[in-house]
Amino acid sequence: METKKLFWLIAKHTVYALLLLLLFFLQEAPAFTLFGARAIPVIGLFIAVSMLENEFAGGLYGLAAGLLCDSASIQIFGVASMLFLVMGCAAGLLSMYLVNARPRSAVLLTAAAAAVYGLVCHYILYGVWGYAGAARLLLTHTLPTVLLTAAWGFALFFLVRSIRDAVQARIGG
Amino acid sequence: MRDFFRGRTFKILLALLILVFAFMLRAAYDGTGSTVLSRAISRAAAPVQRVVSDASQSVADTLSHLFRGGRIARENEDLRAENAALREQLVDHERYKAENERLRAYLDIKEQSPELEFAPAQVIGRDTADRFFSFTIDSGELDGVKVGDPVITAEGLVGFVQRTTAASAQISTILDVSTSVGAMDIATRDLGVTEGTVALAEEGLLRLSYLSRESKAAPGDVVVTSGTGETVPKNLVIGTVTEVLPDAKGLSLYAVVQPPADLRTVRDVLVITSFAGQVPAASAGQ
Repeated sequence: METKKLFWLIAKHTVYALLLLLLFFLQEAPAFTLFGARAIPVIGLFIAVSMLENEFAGGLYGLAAGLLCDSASIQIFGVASMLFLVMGCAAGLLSMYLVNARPRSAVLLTAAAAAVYGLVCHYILYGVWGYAGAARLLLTHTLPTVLLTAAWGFALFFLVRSIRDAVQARIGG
Repeated sequence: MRDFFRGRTFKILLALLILVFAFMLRAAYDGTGSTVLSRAISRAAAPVQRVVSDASQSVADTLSHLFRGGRIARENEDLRAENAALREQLVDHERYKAENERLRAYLDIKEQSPELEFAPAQVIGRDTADRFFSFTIDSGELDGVKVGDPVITAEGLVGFVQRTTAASAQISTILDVSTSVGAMDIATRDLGVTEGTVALAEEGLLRLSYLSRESKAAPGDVVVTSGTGETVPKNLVIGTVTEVLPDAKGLSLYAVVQPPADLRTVRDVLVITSFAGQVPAASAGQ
Protein backbone atom coordinates (compact mmCIF):
# COMPACT_ATOMS: atom_id res chain seq x y z
CA MET A 1 0.00 0.00 0.00
CA GLU A 2 2.78 2.38 0.89
CA THR A 3 4.48 1.64 -2.41
CA LYS A 4 1.29 2.38 -4.28
CA LYS A 5 0.79 5.62 -2.39
CA LEU A 6 4.37 6.67 -3.02
CA PHE A 7 4.03 5.85 -6.70
CA TRP A 8 0.94 8.03 -7.11
CA LEU A 9 2.48 10.87 -5.13
CA ILE A 10 5.51 10.81 -7.38
CA ALA A 11 3.25 10.64 -10.43
CA LYS A 12 1.25 13.63 -9.21
CA HIS A 13 4.30 15.79 -8.65
CA THR A 14 5.74 14.69 -11.98
CA VAL A 15 2.57 15.96 -13.63
CA TYR A 16 2.84 19.22 -11.70
CA ALA A 17 6.46 19.62 -12.77
CA LEU A 18 5.72 18.91 -16.42
CA LEU A 19 2.82 21.34 -16.28
CA LEU A 20 5.14 23.95 -14.84
CA LEU A 21 7.61 23.46 -17.68
CA LEU A 22 4.86 23.56 -20.30
CA LEU A 23 3.43 26.77 -18.89
CA PHE A 24 6.88 28.33 -18.72
CA PHE A 25 7.67 27.61 -22.36
CA LEU A 26 4.22 28.84 -23.32
CA GLN A 27 4.55 32.11 -21.44
CA GLU A 28 7.94 32.81 -23.06
CA ALA A 29 6.74 32.06 -26.61
CA PRO A 30 6.78 35.25 -28.69
CA ALA A 31 3.26 34.67 -30.00
CA PHE A 32 1.77 34.13 -26.52
CA THR A 33 0.16 37.54 -26.20
CA LEU A 34 -3.39 38.86 -26.01
CA PHE A 35 -3.74 42.36 -27.46
CA GLY A 36 -0.09 42.95 -26.62
CA ALA A 37 -0.35 41.81 -22.98
CA ARG A 38 1.48 38.77 -21.62
CA ALA A 39 0.40 36.51 -18.77
CA ILE A 40 2.60 34.63 -16.28
CA PRO A 41 0.70 31.37 -15.85
CA VAL A 42 3.42 29.75 -13.72
CA ILE A 43 2.28 32.06 -10.91
CA GLY A 44 -1.22 30.59 -11.14
CA LEU A 45 0.21 27.10 -11.01
CA PHE A 46 2.32 27.41 -7.87
CA ILE A 47 -0.44 29.35 -6.10
CA ALA A 48 -2.90 26.55 -6.91
CA VAL A 49 -0.44 23.89 -5.75
CA SER A 50 0.21 25.84 -2.59
CA MET A 51 -3.47 26.19 -1.78
CA LEU A 52 -4.40 22.62 -2.58
CA GLU A 53 -1.32 20.77 -1.33
CA ASN A 54 0.66 22.54 1.38
CA GLU A 55 2.91 25.52 1.95
CA PHE A 56 6.10 23.50 1.51
CA ALA A 57 5.10 22.28 -1.93
CA GLY A 58 3.96 25.77 -2.78
CA GLY A 59 7.32 27.19 -1.76
CA LEU A 60 9.24 24.61 -3.78
CA TYR A 61 7.13 25.02 -6.90
CA GLY A 62 7.36 28.77 -6.47
CA LEU A 63 11.13 28.48 -6.32
CA ALA A 64 11.18 26.30 -9.43
CA ALA A 65 8.93 28.73 -11.29
CA GLY A 66 11.10 31.62 -10.18
CA LEU A 67 14.31 29.94 -11.35
CA LEU A 68 12.78 29.38 -14.78
CA CYS A 69 11.58 32.98 -15.02
CA ASP A 70 14.94 34.34 -13.84
CA SER A 71 16.82 32.29 -16.44
CA ALA A 72 14.83 33.94 -19.22
CA SER A 73 14.78 37.49 -17.88
CA ILE A 74 17.15 40.40 -18.44
CA GLN A 75 16.93 41.50 -14.83
CA ILE A 76 19.30 40.26 -12.17
CA PHE A 77 19.03 36.61 -11.18
CA GLY A 78 17.11 35.77 -8.05
CA VAL A 79 14.28 38.31 -7.98
CA ALA A 80 11.58 35.98 -9.23
CA SER A 81 13.03 32.97 -7.39
CA MET A 82 12.93 34.63 -3.99
CA LEU A 83 9.58 36.33 -4.53
CA PHE A 84 7.83 33.21 -5.83
CA LEU A 85 9.25 31.04 -3.04
CA VAL A 86 7.93 33.40 -0.39
CA MET A 87 4.59 33.93 -2.12
CA GLY A 88 4.12 30.21 -2.70
CA CYS A 89 4.72 29.50 0.96
CA ALA A 90 2.54 32.40 2.06
CA ALA A 91 -0.36 31.29 -0.14
CA GLY A 92 -0.28 27.88 1.49
CA LEU A 93 -0.31 29.35 4.98
CA LEU A 94 -3.10 31.77 4.08
CA SER A 95 -5.27 29.01 2.67
CA MET A 96 -4.60 26.96 5.77
CA TYR A 97 -5.43 29.60 8.35
CA LEU A 98 -7.38 32.40 6.76
CA VAL A 99 -9.04 31.62 3.45
CA ASN A 100 -10.70 28.55 2.00
CA ALA A 101 -9.22 26.79 -1.00
CA ARG A 102 -11.78 28.07 -3.49
CA PRO A 103 -11.52 29.32 -7.06
CA ARG A 104 -12.15 32.94 -6.12
CA SER A 105 -9.47 32.76 -3.45
CA ALA A 106 -7.12 31.33 -6.05
CA VAL A 107 -7.91 34.21 -8.40
CA LEU A 108 -7.31 36.79 -5.67
CA LEU A 109 -4.08 35.24 -4.47
CA THR A 110 -2.80 34.81 -8.03
CA ALA A 111 -3.64 38.40 -8.84
CA ALA A 112 -1.95 39.56 -5.64
CA ALA A 113 1.16 37.52 -6.40
CA ALA A 114 1.33 38.83 -9.96
CA ALA A 115 0.82 42.38 -8.72
CA VAL A 116 3.61 42.07 -6.15
CA TYR A 117 5.95 40.61 -8.75
CA GLY A 118 5.04 43.31 -11.25
CA LEU A 119 5.52 46.09 -8.72
CA VAL A 120 8.88 44.77 -7.55
CA CYS A 121 10.13 44.35 -11.13
CA HIS A 122 8.87 47.80 -12.02
CA TYR A 123 10.65 49.32 -9.04
CA ILE A 124 13.92 47.53 -9.72
CA LEU A 125 13.96 48.16 -13.47
CA TYR A 126 12.50 51.65 -13.67
CA GLY A 127 11.41 53.14 -10.33
CA VAL A 128 14.86 53.22 -8.79
CA TRP A 129 16.32 54.97 -11.85
CA GLY A 130 13.58 57.60 -12.02
CA TYR A 131 12.78 57.27 -15.72
CA ALA A 132 10.21 59.81 -16.85
CA GLY A 133 6.77 58.39 -17.40
CA ALA A 134 7.64 55.02 -15.87
CA ALA A 135 4.45 55.05 -13.80
CA ARG A 136 2.44 54.62 -17.01
CA LEU A 137 3.91 51.16 -17.38
CA LEU A 138 1.98 50.10 -14.31
CA LEU A 139 -1.22 50.83 -16.16
CA THR A 140 -0.25 49.70 -19.65
CA HIS A 141 1.82 46.66 -18.81
CA THR A 142 1.56 45.52 -15.17
CA LEU A 143 -2.22 45.76 -14.82
CA PRO A 144 -3.03 43.73 -17.98
CA THR A 145 -0.47 41.14 -16.92
CA VAL A 146 -2.10 40.85 -13.49
CA LEU A 147 -5.57 40.43 -14.99
CA LEU A 148 -4.47 37.81 -17.53
CA THR A 149 -2.47 35.94 -14.91
CA ALA A 150 -5.45 35.92 -12.55
CA ALA A 151 -7.56 34.39 -15.34
CA TRP A 152 -4.95 31.66 -15.70
CA GLY A 153 -5.03 31.18 -11.92
CA PHE A 154 -8.75 30.47 -12.11
CA ALA A 155 -8.31 27.77 -14.76
CA LEU A 156 -5.21 26.24 -13.20
CA PHE A 157 -6.92 25.94 -9.81
CA PHE A 158 -9.48 23.56 -11.34
CA LEU A 159 -6.79 21.66 -13.19
CA VAL A 160 -4.60 21.15 -10.13
CA ARG A 161 -7.62 20.25 -8.05
CA SER A 162 -8.70 17.61 -10.54
CA ILE A 163 -5.19 16.15 -10.57
CA ARG A 164 -5.05 16.10 -6.79
CA ASP A 165 -8.52 14.55 -6.50
CA ALA A 166 -7.72 11.90 -9.10
CA VAL A 167 -4.59 10.85 -7.22
CA GLN A 168 -6.35 10.88 -3.87
CA ALA A 169 -9.07 8.66 -5.29
CA ARG A 170 -6.45 6.14 -6.33
CA ILE A 171 -4.63 6.34 -3.04
CA GLY A 172 -7.90 6.04 -1.21
CA GLY A 173 -7.18 9.04 1.00
CA MET B 1 1.12 28.96 12.31
CA ARG B 2 3.69 29.10 15.10
CA ASP B 3 4.29 25.39 14.56
CA PHE B 4 5.17 26.09 10.95
CA PHE B 5 7.91 28.52 11.87
CA ARG B 6 9.35 26.02 14.31
CA GLY B 7 9.15 23.12 11.90
CA ARG B 8 11.67 21.60 9.53
CA THR B 9 9.88 22.72 6.38
CA PHE B 10 10.32 26.37 7.34
CA LYS B 11 14.01 25.83 7.92
CA ILE B 12 14.38 24.14 4.54
CA LEU B 13 12.55 26.95 2.75
CA LEU B 14 14.59 29.54 4.61
CA ALA B 15 17.80 27.80 3.62
CA LEU B 16 16.71 27.78 -0.04
CA LEU B 17 15.83 31.46 0.18
CA ILE B 18 19.24 32.29 1.60
CA LEU B 19 20.89 30.19 -1.11
CA VAL B 20 19.05 32.05 -3.87
CA PHE B 21 19.95 35.36 -2.24
CA ALA B 22 23.59 34.30 -2.21
CA PHE B 23 23.37 33.54 -5.94
CA MET B 24 21.82 36.94 -6.48
CA LEU B 25 24.63 38.67 -4.59
CA ARG B 26 27.16 36.75 -6.62
CA ALA B 27 25.46 37.75 -9.86
CA ALA B 28 25.40 41.38 -8.77
CA TYR B 29 29.03 41.28 -7.63
CA ASP B 30 30.47 40.03 -10.90
CA GLY B 31 28.23 42.34 -12.91
CA THR B 32 26.79 39.69 -15.21
CA GLY B 33 23.37 39.53 -13.60
CA SER B 34 23.31 35.78 -14.14
CA THR B 35 24.70 32.70 -12.44
CA VAL B 36 25.86 29.24 -13.35
CA LEU B 37 22.43 27.95 -12.42
CA SER B 38 20.50 30.38 -14.64
CA ARG B 39 22.90 29.81 -17.53
CA ALA B 40 22.44 26.05 -17.21
CA ILE B 41 18.65 26.42 -17.21
CA SER B 42 18.78 28.74 -20.24
CA ARG B 43 21.03 26.35 -22.12
CA ALA B 44 18.70 23.44 -21.46
CA ALA B 45 15.58 25.44 -22.28
CA ALA B 46 16.77 27.09 -25.52
CA PRO B 47 16.07 24.16 -27.90
CA VAL B 48 12.59 23.63 -26.48
CA GLN B 49 11.88 27.35 -26.59
CA ARG B 50 12.74 27.35 -30.28
CA VAL B 51 10.27 24.55 -30.99
CA VAL B 52 7.52 26.12 -28.89
CA SER B 53 8.15 29.50 -30.50
CA ASP B 54 7.69 28.07 -34.01
CA ALA B 55 4.62 26.12 -32.98
CA SER B 56 2.97 29.06 -31.23
CA GLN B 57 3.67 31.31 -34.19
CA SER B 58 1.99 28.79 -36.50
CA VAL B 59 -1.03 28.66 -34.24
CA ALA B 60 -1.16 32.44 -34.03
CA ASP B 61 -0.95 32.77 -37.82
CA THR B 62 -3.74 30.21 -38.26
CA LEU B 63 -6.00 31.89 -35.71
CA SER B 64 -5.36 35.26 -37.32
CA HIS B 65 -6.37 33.82 -40.66
CA LEU B 66 -9.56 32.33 -39.17
CA PHE B 67 -10.63 35.57 -37.53
CA ARG B 68 -9.95 37.79 -40.52
CA GLY B 69 -9.85 35.51 -43.43
CA GLY B 70 -13.34 34.24 -44.09
CA ARG B 71 -13.65 36.50 -47.07
CA ILE B 72 -9.97 36.21 -47.93
CA ALA B 73 -10.13 32.43 -47.80
CA ARG B 74 -13.01 32.40 -50.29
CA GLU B 75 -11.14 34.70 -52.67
CA ASN B 76 -8.00 32.63 -52.23
CA GLU B 77 -9.87 29.45 -53.12
CA ASP B 78 -11.22 31.10 -56.27
CA LEU B 79 -7.77 32.28 -57.31
CA ARG B 80 -6.24 28.89 -56.57
CA ALA B 81 -8.84 27.19 -58.72
CA GLU B 82 -8.08 29.56 -61.63
CA ASN B 83 -4.30 29.72 -61.24
CA ALA B 84 -3.23 26.48 -59.48
CA ALA B 85 -0.21 25.65 -61.56
CA LEU B 86 1.09 29.22 -61.85
CA ARG B 87 0.53 29.86 -58.12
CA GLU B 88 2.75 26.91 -57.20
CA GLN B 89 5.55 28.31 -59.31
CA LEU B 90 4.89 31.80 -57.94
CA VAL B 91 5.11 30.60 -54.32
CA ASP B 92 8.51 29.06 -55.00
CA HIS B 93 9.65 32.14 -56.86
CA GLU B 94 8.53 34.52 -54.11
CA ARG B 95 10.17 32.40 -51.46
CA TYR B 96 13.49 32.36 -53.26
CA LYS B 97 13.17 36.05 -54.06
CA ALA B 98 12.45 36.99 -50.42
CA GLU B 99 15.33 34.87 -49.19
CA ASN B 100 17.59 36.37 -51.86
CA GLU B 101 16.62 39.90 -50.84
CA ARG B 102 17.20 39.14 -47.18
CA LEU B 103 20.58 37.59 -47.84
CA ARG B 104 21.49 40.39 -50.26
CA ALA B 105 20.71 42.95 -47.57
CA TYR B 106 23.01 41.13 -45.20
CA LEU B 107 25.63 40.90 -47.96
CA ASP B 108 25.39 44.68 -48.48
CA ILE B 109 26.14 45.17 -44.81
CA LYS B 110 29.06 42.76 -45.08
CA GLU B 111 30.41 44.42 -48.23
CA GLN B 112 30.19 47.89 -46.73
CA SER B 113 31.91 46.71 -43.62
CA PRO B 114 33.89 43.58 -44.47
CA GLU B 115 35.52 43.55 -41.05
CA LEU B 116 32.14 42.77 -39.43
CA GLU B 117 31.62 39.25 -38.15
CA PHE B 118 28.11 37.96 -37.57
CA ALA B 119 26.30 35.24 -35.72
CA PRO B 120 22.81 34.58 -37.14
CA ALA B 121 20.07 33.94 -34.63
CA GLN B 122 16.37 33.39 -34.27
CA VAL B 123 14.08 34.88 -31.63
CA ILE B 124 12.89 32.05 -29.39
CA GLY B 125 11.35 33.86 -26.44
CA ARG B 126 10.07 37.13 -25.10
CA ASP B 127 10.67 38.40 -21.55
CA THR B 128 7.38 38.68 -19.62
CA ALA B 129 8.94 41.05 -17.08
CA ASP B 130 10.24 43.56 -19.60
CA ARG B 131 8.20 46.42 -21.04
CA PHE B 132 10.38 47.22 -23.99
CA PHE B 133 10.08 44.03 -26.03
CA SER B 134 13.34 42.41 -24.99
CA PHE B 135 13.77 38.90 -26.37
CA THR B 136 15.83 35.73 -26.22
CA ILE B 137 17.80 34.40 -29.19
CA ASP B 138 19.20 30.95 -29.86
CA SER B 139 22.84 32.01 -30.24
CA GLY B 140 25.13 32.32 -27.25
CA GLU B 141 28.72 32.18 -26.06
CA LEU B 142 29.46 29.11 -28.16
CA ASP B 143 28.60 31.18 -31.25
CA GLY B 144 30.89 34.03 -30.20
CA VAL B 145 28.14 36.23 -28.76
CA LYS B 146 29.23 38.53 -25.92
CA VAL B 147 27.49 40.99 -23.63
CA GLY B 148 27.24 44.36 -25.34
CA ASP B 149 27.31 43.02 -28.92
CA PRO B 150 24.99 44.96 -31.25
CA VAL B 151 22.04 43.05 -32.72
CA ILE B 152 20.70 43.96 -36.16
CA THR B 153 18.25 42.89 -38.81
CA ALA B 154 18.52 43.59 -42.53
CA GLU B 155 16.70 46.87 -41.83
CA GLY B 156 18.94 48.13 -39.05
CA LEU B 157 19.91 48.12 -35.38
CA VAL B 158 17.42 46.49 -33.02
CA GLY B 159 19.26 46.13 -29.71
CA PHE B 160 22.20 44.90 -27.69
CA VAL B 161 23.12 41.67 -25.96
CA GLN B 162 22.31 42.00 -22.27
CA ARG B 163 23.08 38.53 -20.95
CA THR B 164 24.53 35.38 -22.45
CA THR B 165 24.58 31.67 -21.81
CA ALA B 166 26.35 28.98 -23.79
CA ALA B 167 23.50 28.57 -26.29
CA SER B 168 21.27 31.61 -25.89
CA ALA B 169 21.30 35.30 -25.12
CA GLN B 170 18.88 37.94 -23.86
CA ILE B 171 18.61 41.07 -25.98
CA SER B 172 17.43 44.47 -24.77
CA THR B 173 16.03 46.57 -27.59
CA ILE B 174 16.90 50.13 -28.57
CA LEU B 175 13.48 51.16 -27.20
CA ASP B 176 14.64 50.33 -23.66
CA VAL B 177 14.94 53.38 -21.41
CA SER B 178 18.33 52.17 -20.18
CA THR B 179 19.76 51.93 -23.71
CA SER B 180 21.39 54.91 -25.40
CA VAL B 181 23.28 54.95 -28.69
CA GLY B 182 25.47 57.60 -30.26
CA ALA B 183 23.71 58.61 -33.47
CA MET B 184 23.90 60.93 -36.44
CA ASP B 185 21.38 62.43 -38.85
CA ILE B 186 22.77 61.50 -42.27
CA ALA B 187 21.19 64.48 -44.03
CA THR B 188 22.42 67.21 -41.69
CA ARG B 189 25.39 65.38 -40.06
CA ASP B 190 24.01 66.43 -36.66
CA LEU B 191 25.16 64.28 -33.78
CA GLY B 192 22.93 63.17 -30.94
CA VAL B 193 22.04 60.27 -28.67
CA THR B 194 19.10 57.95 -29.20
CA GLU B 195 17.33 56.76 -26.10
CA GLY B 196 14.11 55.04 -25.25
CA THR B 197 11.28 56.67 -23.34
CA VAL B 198 8.25 55.03 -21.80
CA ALA B 199 5.75 57.06 -23.80
CA LEU B 200 7.42 56.63 -27.17
CA ALA B 201 8.24 52.96 -26.64
CA GLU B 202 4.53 52.14 -26.46
CA GLU B 203 4.27 53.32 -30.08
CA GLY B 204 7.47 51.58 -31.13
CA LEU B 205 9.39 54.86 -31.37
CA LEU B 206 12.49 56.28 -29.77
CA ARG B 207 14.04 59.68 -29.19
CA LEU B 208 17.12 61.33 -30.70
CA SER B 209 18.19 63.85 -28.08
CA TYR B 210 20.71 66.68 -27.78
CA LEU B 211 20.27 68.12 -31.25
CA SER B 212 21.39 71.72 -31.34
CA ARG B 213 18.75 74.42 -31.63
CA GLU B 214 20.12 75.31 -35.05
CA SER B 215 19.77 71.77 -36.32
CA LYS B 216 18.12 71.38 -39.72
CA ALA B 217 16.97 67.85 -38.99
CA ALA B 218 13.60 67.20 -40.61
CA PRO B 219 11.08 64.38 -40.99
CA GLY B 220 12.32 61.78 -43.39
CA ASP B 221 15.95 62.05 -42.39
CA VAL B 222 17.69 58.74 -41.78
CA VAL B 223 19.41 58.31 -38.41
CA VAL B 224 22.42 56.01 -38.19
CA THR B 225 24.90 55.06 -35.51
CA SER B 226 27.83 57.44 -35.17
CA GLY B 227 30.22 54.84 -33.81
CA THR B 228 30.90 56.96 -30.73
CA GLY B 229 32.28 54.89 -27.88
CA GLU B 230 33.40 52.08 -30.20
CA THR B 231 30.67 49.80 -28.88
CA VAL B 232 28.67 49.77 -32.09
CA PRO B 233 29.84 50.05 -35.74
CA LYS B 234 29.22 53.25 -37.62
CA ASN B 235 26.40 53.76 -40.11
CA LEU B 236 24.00 51.14 -38.85
CA VAL B 237 20.47 52.37 -39.53
CA ILE B 238 18.57 53.20 -36.36
CA GLY B 239 15.48 54.68 -37.97
CA THR B 240 13.80 57.58 -39.71
CA VAL B 241 12.90 60.94 -38.20
CA THR B 242 9.14 61.46 -37.97
CA GLU B 243 9.12 64.83 -36.21
CA VAL B 244 11.49 67.35 -34.60
CA LEU B 245 10.49 69.12 -31.41
CA PRO B 246 12.10 71.38 -28.81
CA ASP B 247 13.00 69.71 -25.55
CA ALA B 248 11.27 70.62 -22.29
CA LYS B 249 13.74 73.38 -21.43
CA GLY B 250 14.01 74.76 -24.93
CA LEU B 251 17.78 74.49 -24.93
CA SER B 252 17.99 71.90 -27.65
CA LEU B 253 15.89 69.92 -30.05
CA TYR B 254 14.97 66.28 -30.14
CA ALA B 255 13.67 64.09 -32.92
CA VAL B 256 11.20 61.25 -32.75
CA VAL B 257 12.65 58.29 -34.64
CA GLN B 258 10.80 55.37 -36.17
CA PRO B 259 12.89 52.18 -36.30
CA PRO B 260 12.65 50.39 -39.68
CA ALA B 261 11.90 47.02 -38.09
CA ASP B 262 8.91 46.30 -35.82
CA LEU B 263 10.73 45.28 -32.66
CA ARG B 264 7.63 43.56 -31.31
CA THR B 265 7.59 40.99 -34.11
CA VAL B 266 11.21 40.63 -35.23
CA ARG B 267 12.10 36.97 -35.69
CA ASP B 268 15.48 36.67 -37.42
CA VAL B 269 18.47 38.73 -36.36
CA LEU B 270 22.24 38.95 -36.72
CA VAL B 271 24.57 39.54 -33.79
CA ILE B 272 27.68 41.54 -34.67
CA THR B 273 30.29 39.61 -32.77
CA SER B 274 33.28 41.58 -34.01
CA PHE B 275 34.04 44.80 -35.85
CA ALA B 276 37.06 47.01 -36.36
CA GLY B 277 37.87 49.15 -33.36
CA GLN B 278 35.41 47.37 -31.08
CA VAL B 279 35.80 48.14 -27.38
CA PRO B 280 34.17 45.69 -24.95
CA ALA B 281 31.10 47.29 -23.40
CA ALA B 282 30.43 46.94 -19.66
CA SER B 283 26.74 46.90 -20.45
CA ALA B 284 24.60 47.22 -23.54
CA GLY B 285 24.05 50.56 -25.12
CA GLN B 286 26.91 52.45 -23.45
